[in-house]
Amino acid sequence: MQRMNLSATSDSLARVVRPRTRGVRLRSVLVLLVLAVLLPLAAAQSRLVIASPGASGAEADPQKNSNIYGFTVSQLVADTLLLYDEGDYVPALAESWEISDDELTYTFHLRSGVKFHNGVEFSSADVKASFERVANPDDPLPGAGNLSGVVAVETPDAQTVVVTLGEPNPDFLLNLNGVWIVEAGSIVAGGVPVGSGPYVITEYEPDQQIVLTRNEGYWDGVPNIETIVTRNIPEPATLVLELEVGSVDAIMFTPANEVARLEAAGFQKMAFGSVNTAFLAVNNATVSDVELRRAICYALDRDVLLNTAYAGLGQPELTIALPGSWASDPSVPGYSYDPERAAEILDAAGYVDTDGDGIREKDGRPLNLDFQARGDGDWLVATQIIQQFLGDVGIGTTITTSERNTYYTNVRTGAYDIGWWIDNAQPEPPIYEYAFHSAEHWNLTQRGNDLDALVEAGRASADRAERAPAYFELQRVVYEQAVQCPQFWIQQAHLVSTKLTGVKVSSQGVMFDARNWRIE
Amino acid sequence: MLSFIARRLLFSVFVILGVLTLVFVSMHIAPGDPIDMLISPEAGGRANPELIEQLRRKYGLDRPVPVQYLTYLTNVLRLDLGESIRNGRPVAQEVMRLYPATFELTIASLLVAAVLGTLVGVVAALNKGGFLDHLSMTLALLGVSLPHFLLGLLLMLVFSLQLGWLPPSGRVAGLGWESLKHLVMPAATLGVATTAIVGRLVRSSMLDVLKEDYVRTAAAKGAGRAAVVLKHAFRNALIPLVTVLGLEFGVLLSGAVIAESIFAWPGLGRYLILGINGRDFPVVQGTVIFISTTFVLVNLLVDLLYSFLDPRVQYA
Amino acid sequence: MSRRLRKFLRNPLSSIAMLVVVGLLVAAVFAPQLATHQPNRQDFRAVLQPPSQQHYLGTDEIGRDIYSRVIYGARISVTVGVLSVLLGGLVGITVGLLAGFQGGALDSVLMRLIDVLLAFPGILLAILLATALGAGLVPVIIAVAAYSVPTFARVMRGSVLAVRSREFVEAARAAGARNWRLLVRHVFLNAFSPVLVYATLLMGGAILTAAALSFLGVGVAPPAPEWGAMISTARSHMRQAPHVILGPGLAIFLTVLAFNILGDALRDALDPKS
Repeated sequence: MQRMNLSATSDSLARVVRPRTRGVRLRSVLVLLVLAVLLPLAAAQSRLVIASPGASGAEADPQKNSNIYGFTVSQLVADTLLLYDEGDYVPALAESWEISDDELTYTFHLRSGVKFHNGVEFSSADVKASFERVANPDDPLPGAGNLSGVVAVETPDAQTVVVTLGEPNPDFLLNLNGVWIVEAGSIVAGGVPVGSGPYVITEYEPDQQIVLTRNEGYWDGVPNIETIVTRNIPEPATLVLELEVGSVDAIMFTPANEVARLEAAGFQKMAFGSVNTAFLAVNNATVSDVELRRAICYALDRDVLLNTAYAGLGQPELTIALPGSWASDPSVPGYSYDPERAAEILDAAGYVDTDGDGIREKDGRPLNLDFQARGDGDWLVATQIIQQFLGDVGIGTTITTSERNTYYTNVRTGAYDIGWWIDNAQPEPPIYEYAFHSAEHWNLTQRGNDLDALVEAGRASADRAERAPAYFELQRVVYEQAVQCPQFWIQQAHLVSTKLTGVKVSSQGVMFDARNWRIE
Repeated sequence: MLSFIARRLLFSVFVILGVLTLVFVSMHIAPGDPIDMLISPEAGGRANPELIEQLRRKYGLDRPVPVQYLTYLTNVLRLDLGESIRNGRPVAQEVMRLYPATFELTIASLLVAAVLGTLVGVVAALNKGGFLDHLSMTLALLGVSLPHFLLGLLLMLVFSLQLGWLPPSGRVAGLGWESLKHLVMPAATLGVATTAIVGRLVRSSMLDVLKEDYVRTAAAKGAGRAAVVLKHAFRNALIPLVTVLGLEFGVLLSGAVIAESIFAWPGLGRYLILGINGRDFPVVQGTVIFISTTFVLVNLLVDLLYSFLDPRVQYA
Repeated sequence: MSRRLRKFLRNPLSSIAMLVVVGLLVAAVFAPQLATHQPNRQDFRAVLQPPSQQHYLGTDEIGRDIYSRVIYGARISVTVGVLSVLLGGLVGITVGLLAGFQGGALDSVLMRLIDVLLAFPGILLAILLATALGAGLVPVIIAVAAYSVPTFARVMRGSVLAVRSREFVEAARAAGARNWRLLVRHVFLNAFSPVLVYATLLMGGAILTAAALSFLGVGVAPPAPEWGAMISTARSHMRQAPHVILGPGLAIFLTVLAFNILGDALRDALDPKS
C-alpha cells in the first residue's frame, strides 16, 4: 500500500549517501544494500490508488457489477458500444449508429482494429454474444434490465450490428452504457470474460483490492497511468484517513460532512448527481389519506435537512422533474416548508390533539406512523430530523432501524408508512419517473397501477415534444396526490488528490475516460 | 483415550448440526431479501418482475424454506457450502481464501494478549496489594472497557495521522516489515481485551507459587528467586492458560468482525458482515459453520492437551 | 461474610468503582432532574457546538445536548445490563438446575443444546439474533442474554453435581421432602460467588455488546440516546468536532471499567482460598 514516487526515493538516497567520515567500508556496504532495495523502486511507475467505502468489491467480470464503484472498474477493463457524457452520446466501440424512423431498429457501425486483451480482433459476433449473455433467461446478469425489450440482434457483417426492439425505448442508448462488450470465445470458455478496456486486471483479491495494469495496445491510445489500484475500505472514517495520510489518491462517495473539511485541506471535490433524488417515501396504501400525505410534505424543511444532514450538497427538489428541463411543467408548485399550512390541513381533516400530548388523534386513535430507517450515517441523521419536523406539527412517528438491505426490502414490500430514500436514477429523462410504474422493482408507493399509463406514455417515443405532456401530467398527479415528498436533487462527491487530473465523473458517480487520466 | 476422542468428535458433529440449523433459521426469519442487493437503488438498479423471478429461480429462493433447508443440509454433508448469491463464487473456496488473514490476526492478538497479560500479571503479583498491583490490573482492564470500533479509530488517529508510524488499514500478505506494520494496530485492538484475562491468571498463579515452601528454599539457597518463581508459576498457570486461550481464540475469531471492518482487513469477519447485510444466506451459513467448527475443534484440542501438559489428567 | 465485605471495601479501586455504579444508577433514576435539555430535541442553529456553559458536553450533529443525552443514556444502559443479566440468569439457572437434578437423558439433551450455543463464540450469536429479530432494545437484550445462558447453566449444573455428591444429600433424601429445600439452598450457596462475579462482569459486557450491535446497524432504535449508538454516529463527526466522542465515550468507558473492577474485586473477596 506504500506509495513510492521518484522524489521520495531520491530524498532518501541523498540522506543515506551524504555522511562520509568514518567507517567508510561499512557505510558503503550499507549504501549498496540500501541501493539494492531502493533501486527497483526508483523505476517506480505512475500509480493511482482509488478507494471506495462499500464493503463489497468490484467483480472482475464487468457485467457482474451492481454498484458505482464496480462500474468504475468495469469501465477500466471493458468498453461499451457508446458512452453517455454530459447529455451526449459519444462513440466507443461503435463508431456511429442510425435509428429507424419507427425507433425500433438500431444499426451500429463498429470500430475496426480493436483488439481484446487476449489479442482477438473485435467484431459484431462479440456484441451479439455479449448481449445474449447479459439477457440469458436461464442465467440473467444484474444488468439484464438494460436490454429488456430487445427482440433480435443480427450481425449482417463483421462491422455491423442491428438491434431490434419490440417497442420504442427513448433510453435504449443510455441503457447500452451499462452493457459491456466481451470477447465471444471467452464467454464460451467460461470463467472471467475478456474485455478490450484501457486496463487489464493483474491481481484480484475479491472485496479487498484489484491491481490493474495499462493496456499498451488500447485502441484509443496508451493510457497515461501505468498502474491503478482499487481498494475497498468499509469504514468511512478509515477511508477519509487514508486520503489524508496520502496512501490513497481518490476516495469515492466521501461522507457529506467531511467534504468541506477535506476541500479546505487541499483536496479536489468532484461532485456529481443530476437526477439523483432524495425524498420521503410514503406508503400510499397505509397512509391512504391524501390530506395527511399533503400535510407531511408541507411539514418538511428541506433547507435545514439538506444543510444539516448533507452539508448543503444538492439542489432543492420541489417536484419530481428537474427544474428548467424539457420534462418539467413550471406551473406545478410542489410543497414548500409551511408548518402552519400543515397544521390547518390536519385540523380540517379531523386530526386534532385532544389529550394534549402533542400528538394528534383521529377517531380516538393517535396519529403515529411507522418510520422505517437505514441505521447508518446520514440516513439515520435525516430520519431523526424528519421525525422532529413531523412531531412539530403533531404527527407522531416510531423509528425502526435496520441495516441497508433489510431496510430496502421493508420499503419495497410495503412494510412501512414513511421512509427516507435516495435513488441514484439514470440521468435521462430529467424527471424521476421510472419508479412510479407498478412493474418496477423499486416502486415504493404501493399505489397499484394508476400511474403506469403515464410512465409508459412518456417512454413511447424518442421525441421530447411527444413525451413532455405525459411527464407534465405525471409531475402534476404526484404533486396533487402527494405520492411522495421530493426534497432535493442530491449531490455526492469523490475527493481526489490534486495530483490526479483528467478524470470524468458520470452523473451517477462512475469515474470514466481512464485513458486520459494523469497523475503527477 | 481414543474412545474419548471418538465420542467427542461424534458430539461435535451434533453440535455443528445444531449450529447449522440455528443459523439457517435465524437467517431465514430475518427480514430482508437477497435479491434487493443485486438490483440496488444506489446503482439505479431497474428490473421487472420476470427478471426478478428468473433471479429467484437461479438461486433456489423460489422453493419452500424446508426444502431449501434439506437441500442445504445434504449439500453441507457432501462438504458443499454452496455459492454466494452476491457474486456466485463458491463459499468454501472463499472461506479458505480468507481464513489465513483472520487466523493471522487472531494469532497475533493472542500473542499481544499473552505478552501484555504476562507482564501485567507478574508486575501485579510481585507487588501484591500495593499501588503497582492495582495500577497494572486496572491498566489491563482499560482495553476491555472501550468498544472495539472506537479503540481502533483512536489508535488510527494517533499512530497513522498524528505520528505517521503505521498505515491506517489494509493487509500485506506474507512475512516482512510491511506486513507487520499493517498487522500491529488490528492485533492490538483485538488483543487488549484478552490481556486482562491472561493478566489475572498469571497473577494468581504467581501468588500461589510465591507462597510455596520450595520457592523460599530456592531463594534461601541463593538461586535466582525470580527465575524459580517464574518457572513454577508458568508450570502452574499452563493448564488454565491453555483453556482460556482456547476459549479466547473463539472470542477473537468473532471479534474480528468489527476489527476487520475498521481496518479493512480482508478476512472472514468482513465476509460474514457482507453476507449478513446482503442476506447472502450461503455466505453467512458457510462462514458461521466454519468458525464454529474451528472453535469446537480448537477446544477439543485444548482438552487433549491437558493430558500432555499434565500426565495426571485422565480421560474417562 | 462481613470479613469478606470488609476486604472488598478495603480495596480503594472497588470503592471508586462502586461510586461510579451508584452514579450510574442516580443518573438513570433522576435523569429528568439532572438533564439540562430534552435529550431528543434538535436545534438546527446549534449544530456541533463545543462544550459551553449552556451545553456542558457540547451538541451533536443535529444540535442535541450531548450531556442530557448521556444522562438519559444511563437508563438504556442500565436496562440492557440488568434485564439481559436477569433473563440470561433465569434461563441459564433453570436449565442448569434441571439438568443437574434430573440427570440422564434430559441432562444430555440440555447440555448438548448449551454446547450448540457455546459453539457460537463471542459476539457471533448476538449478531445473528439481532439480525433475525430486527433492531431494537428487546432484541439487544435477548441477544446479550442468549450469550450468557451457557455460563449460568454450567455453573449451576456444576454446583448441583458438587452438592449431590456430598454425603449429607443421602441423609437429606432419607429424611424426606423438607430437606430437598435444604439441598437447593446448598446448591445456591455453592453457586452464589461465581454467579455474582459473572453477573457483574456481564453488565459491562452487555453494554459493550449493545454498542457493537449499534456499530453494525442492528442496535437500539434512534432517537434513543444509547451510548454505543451515540459513539457510532459521533465517529464520523469527530474529525470536525472532537468533543462529540467525549461524552458517550467516557460514559461507556467508566461504566464498563467500573463493572470490570467490581467483578474482579468480588472474585478476590469471595475466593474461598483467601
